[in-house]
Amino acid sequence: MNTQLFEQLHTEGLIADSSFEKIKEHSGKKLFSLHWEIKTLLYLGVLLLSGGLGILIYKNIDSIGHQAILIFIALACAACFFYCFKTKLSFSTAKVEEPNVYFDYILLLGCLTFISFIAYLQFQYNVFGTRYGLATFFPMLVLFFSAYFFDHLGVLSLAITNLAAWIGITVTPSALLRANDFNSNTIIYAGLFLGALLIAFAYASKKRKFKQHFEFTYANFGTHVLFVSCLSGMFHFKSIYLVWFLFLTALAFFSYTRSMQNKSFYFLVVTTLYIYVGISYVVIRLLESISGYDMGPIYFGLLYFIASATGLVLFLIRSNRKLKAL
Amino acid sequence: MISYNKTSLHNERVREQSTTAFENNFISKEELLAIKNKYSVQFYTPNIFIRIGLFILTLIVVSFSFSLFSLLFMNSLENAMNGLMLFFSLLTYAALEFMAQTQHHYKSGVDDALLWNFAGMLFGSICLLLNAGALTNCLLAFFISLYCSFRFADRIMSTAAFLSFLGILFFLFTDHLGISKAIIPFVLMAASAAVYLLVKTLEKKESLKNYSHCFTIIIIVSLLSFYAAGNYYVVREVNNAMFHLTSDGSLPFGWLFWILTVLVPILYIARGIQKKDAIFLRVGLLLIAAMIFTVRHYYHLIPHEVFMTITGFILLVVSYTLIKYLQQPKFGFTYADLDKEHAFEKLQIESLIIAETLGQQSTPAETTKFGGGSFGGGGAGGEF
Repeated sequence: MNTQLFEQLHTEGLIADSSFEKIKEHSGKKLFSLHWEIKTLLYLGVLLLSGGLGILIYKNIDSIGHQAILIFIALACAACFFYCFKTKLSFSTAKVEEPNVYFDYILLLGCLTFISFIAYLQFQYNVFGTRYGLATFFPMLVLFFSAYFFDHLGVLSLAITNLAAWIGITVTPSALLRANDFNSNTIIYAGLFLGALLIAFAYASKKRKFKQHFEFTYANFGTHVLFVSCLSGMFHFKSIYLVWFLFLTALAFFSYTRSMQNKSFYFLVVTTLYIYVGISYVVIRLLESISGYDMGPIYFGLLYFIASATGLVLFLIRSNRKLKAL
Repeated sequence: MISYNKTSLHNERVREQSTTAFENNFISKEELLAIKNKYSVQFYTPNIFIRIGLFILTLIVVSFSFSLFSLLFMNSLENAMNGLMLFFSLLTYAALEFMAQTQHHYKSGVDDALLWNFAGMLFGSICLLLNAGALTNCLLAFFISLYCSFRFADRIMSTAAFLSFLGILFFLFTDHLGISKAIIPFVLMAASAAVYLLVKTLEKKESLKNYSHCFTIIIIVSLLSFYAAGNYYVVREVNNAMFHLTSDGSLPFGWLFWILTVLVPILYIARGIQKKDAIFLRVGLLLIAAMIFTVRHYYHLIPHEVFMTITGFILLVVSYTLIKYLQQPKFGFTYADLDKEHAFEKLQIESLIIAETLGQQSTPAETTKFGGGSFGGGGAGGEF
């Protein structure tokens, strides 16, 4: 911190003597925090070790045998959960601090090994047969339970992903856009259902004051799923795309008011960009339908994009000012 | 020199420092408000998400305007594409100056988009017009990005200026001077070191405070380029691809580059610890990984999975001991997170990273393990 600057502020009478003393004292003995460096190392270590061990086991599966591996995974999982139950702080509906640095990682390890255990059972011994739903249902229950019981946002994200897998689509924010081609009716409806469910969860956690800090994670997944499903509905059901567009508009309006209420810049931008994609699609479809008039529609299209994007820039700037003033 | 309002830039810095002081509980809320009242900033600088949104939208406006523009003139001017681009880049520049000076946009996304567009189009059009060699292109890029750095204090532009400077030296020595090509790594290392030292002295000047974040990024990039210029893998591969110094592809004075490859990251870390310099420390840690990859590329002693397991284990042990050791601050180092204010957002980001890297266990059909993510970065910011 620049003491010179604060000296000036001090002479201008903007900060009191005691505050200035504190700043001078602080700049004298600077403490250097290695927190994020060490945490990154820890994370890398976990990733490398688990990856390396995984490949090692995979390559030596013949000499180890499936039962031995299963027992090993089960033991590791049990040990992790045993540790978590023993050291955790008492449950509360508010945010619970982690009892120590390793707690979060050990809980995460426990959850991941549990998922692997179930997956292994299913893959090798076909325990659940063709009822694939069950194979994702059990891990989901365990994950949701752990997320709430031990208060872990990362596990909550895993649980939501698992919920989505159980319902029928895999969602992590990027996989949503990359891996799924949302091209069948059922998946679109499932997506709408899932999105609405997650938004409802977000609402409930805030309203009931039950783990309020989970709200963002729910709302984030829910918003993206809803918008993407809605857009793909519009692209997929070509004949009634205007109906879907109406639905999208309603959704955007809902999301916009919500983001204003929560003072969320993030959701404001996300909403704007999604609805812009929707509007542009409608405009292009309309221009397409009047084609045959030479270059006219192309010019109109270009002008539309220039004007609309400029309009949205102004809209974002204004909403931003409005949000800040709130 | 700088296009933005200088008083506002100064006041912005005062506000930033005061906010940090407030977050550390050095000054009270009333004091902070008094400071913010006195040091007013007329800039329009939105939240990071709005900035990204504005950036995308401005790019849409600019690119569609350019399409419309060229569509209108395409028929009449058959071969004038380059001239059109040049003219359009100047238009963009006018818009940029207007936004920065009259509308007081500062890091709003709009000015970023206009600046990059201007620089890119100007470079592209002159490049196509001149149709010259690599050295001229590097010179061109250097002057454009240097001007942009001076005028708009943009970090990306400063990085581009530094890299094109290295490019100038590289092509000067390869194509135009009749000196042995074997000394190029040392020229580049010397240049990186010289720029580093120069920037270090410039950084202390009060009159250049507006460029402090540009200096920081140049320091980081120069540390990286210093290492890259002496890295065995880089030197050898560039040599083999461009100069063919030896027939069997081996590198003369290879041992020297091996020493540099291994030693430089360790020296960086040592200096980072000694001076409590976060930049040196982090760059050093990053380069340790680069060093390991380099060594493993040529000496494949143990299989990957064994190596992964061992390194993972070592990392766990090291971080565990460090955490235990630094529970109580020692020698001015601590494990405690000093800015608790932001701990909550970081936790949110962490949860998304976990979902990204570990979340796809239930879909074995997918091969991508470590997803990038176009929307994955959400969750930070003051108020989301």
